[in-house]
Amino acid sequence: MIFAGCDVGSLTAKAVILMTNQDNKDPVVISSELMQVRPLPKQSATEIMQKALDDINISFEDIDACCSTGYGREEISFADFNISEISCHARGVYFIDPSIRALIDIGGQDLKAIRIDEKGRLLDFKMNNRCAAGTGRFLEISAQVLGISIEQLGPLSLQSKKNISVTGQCSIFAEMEVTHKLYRGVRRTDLAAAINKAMALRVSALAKKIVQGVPTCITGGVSKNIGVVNNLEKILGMSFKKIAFDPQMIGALGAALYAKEYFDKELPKQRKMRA
Amino acid sequence: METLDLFKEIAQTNYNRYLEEAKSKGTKIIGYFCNIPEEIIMAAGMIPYRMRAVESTKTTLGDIWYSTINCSFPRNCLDQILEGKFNFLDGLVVMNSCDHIRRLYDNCKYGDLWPNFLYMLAVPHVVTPESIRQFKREINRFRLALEEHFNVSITQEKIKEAISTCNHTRKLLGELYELRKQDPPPIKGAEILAIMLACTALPKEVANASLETLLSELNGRVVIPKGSPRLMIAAGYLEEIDYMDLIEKDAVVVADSLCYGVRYLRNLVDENKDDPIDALAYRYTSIACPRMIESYDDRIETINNDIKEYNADGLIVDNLKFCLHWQVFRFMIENEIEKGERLSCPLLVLERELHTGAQGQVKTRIQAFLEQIHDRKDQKVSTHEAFKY
Repeated sequence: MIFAGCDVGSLTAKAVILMTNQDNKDPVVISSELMQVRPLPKQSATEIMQKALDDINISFEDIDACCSTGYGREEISFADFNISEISCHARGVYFIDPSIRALIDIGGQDLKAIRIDEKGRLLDFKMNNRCAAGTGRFLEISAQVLGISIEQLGPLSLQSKKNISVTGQCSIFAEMEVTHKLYRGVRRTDLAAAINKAMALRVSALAKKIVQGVPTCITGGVSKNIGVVNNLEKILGMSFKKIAFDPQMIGALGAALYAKEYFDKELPKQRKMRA
Repeated sequence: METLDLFKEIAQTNYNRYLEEAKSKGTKIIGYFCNIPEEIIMAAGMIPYRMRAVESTKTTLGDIWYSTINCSFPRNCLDQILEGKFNFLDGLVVMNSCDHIRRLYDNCKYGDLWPNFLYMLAVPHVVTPESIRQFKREINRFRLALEEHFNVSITQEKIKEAISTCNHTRKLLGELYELRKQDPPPIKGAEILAIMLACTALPKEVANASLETLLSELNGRVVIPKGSPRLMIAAGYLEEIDYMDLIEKDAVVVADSLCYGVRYLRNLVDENKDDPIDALAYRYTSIACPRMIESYDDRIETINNDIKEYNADGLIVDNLKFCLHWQVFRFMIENEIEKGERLSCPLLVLERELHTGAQGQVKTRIQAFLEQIHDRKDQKVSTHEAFKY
């Protein structure tokens, strides 16, 4: 059986394809793809899913069930149903490591702290409030100002020798602050470190209550920034569990797992009804 | 569902044909904020009209008078006043329920923005024998002010009559709320909100007659499949029907703690008291609203009881930005749920500004919240059935 999960976020689109054995058990990931989003969610979804399918030489018809998630989840016509990215992240992380009880997901424009129980069920969550502070967009804007790519922001910050801070609460004000400091001759490495620290502060303020004292991991694009992760661990006084899967693809993986569940539960019912 | 359509129609606009008709016959209409003893206005032969901003699309004029850290309800409301959308009113009664509303009175007075009768009714924030005595004096002062300004006489008999009419409205609304306890309920939360908005903008006789018809029409009505997630919403001011629709996309709101909700209909005025003013003073201080100091336990208990009675699966607390009453209460509810002793159910906290979008984010939160409820409940209806589009 083949199951697909499609996660169309605000900045990137992700697709994961799962295969199960003959008894529809032991799902394994057989393909996964990531790309920058196109203007329309539908476009991004079709393109990324096609890419993931092409990698393993199968077509849309081979998919037994598909679930969509992410910001554009309702616009994806080839998906059978949609589940919020919050539940999908919980499901995905639990599949990779069932000992995890909480996760922090930092995406392009969302920041979420999610608590799950011992069966991987959603217990509680917190999400940022209509503002880009503490999200990937903030890092993107800041990297642009520094004239570096977003991938460099983490490694660059590790070379910092001086402790400075960016205090702006809002992404736009923080950008102005970074520009101003750059003009005054502050080193880029120090600024990169300050940006990562500011980001970690925002995230910890939201996530603290949810993640305290339980095995936690970090997912989403920003989890690839070593500077933010190190700072966050320091502020929260804990170390994150490493997961054996691309942290940016967890949402799509969770969606694919939901698709399998859907297939298990719903399709026999529908067939029965038809018969 | 003609009656329901009528309520929905009335709820969409500030002014309506029933008010227009009454006005053409010379009946005066008095606008008011929050829960004031509207019986006094009715006893003066006038129509009480609860202030709203349902037609508001901007706050450009309101922004002149309000600062950035003021609540968006009075801001939108003042904007509508300055736009002339409330010119049909013959008077406005403001009460000191919160400083943002009170500021609307200040602005109107200072800037001479309100053309006719403008009155501030001071309500107490505690319930003690002294505060009730003081409130009685305030109600009497209000009665005298109306009598003097409009040259009418407000007799004890007329007040008693008005009390009985208003009690009837409350009882009918109470019957409507009883129906929400069913699974599935025959009416959605957005519809209840429309009814509440309409009932506070119609002559009471019209409202009562329409409510009676509506109650007979609802028998056997189906709005959502059995077993759908049932929610309770606790908030201060909420008038946005489309926002309720958003919450109720895959669920149904069965209980509330809203100004346009239980706080309007709970607790009848005692009709057996000799002094009707005394009865009014007691009733209007008995409402468990966050503006009352020391009403915390009462509020938590009310919410807990309602969750059980209406069999709600989850609680949504939604506060307007800069509403201190609700921000504090929200924080206390969060703590209470964390402790889990007096209140225990899934909780979703939302914050909004009146009539502003950000629908995508709210939608995600609500969907995830319903998935959380489902996960916890392990209902027989599968997640996918409920969330399929």
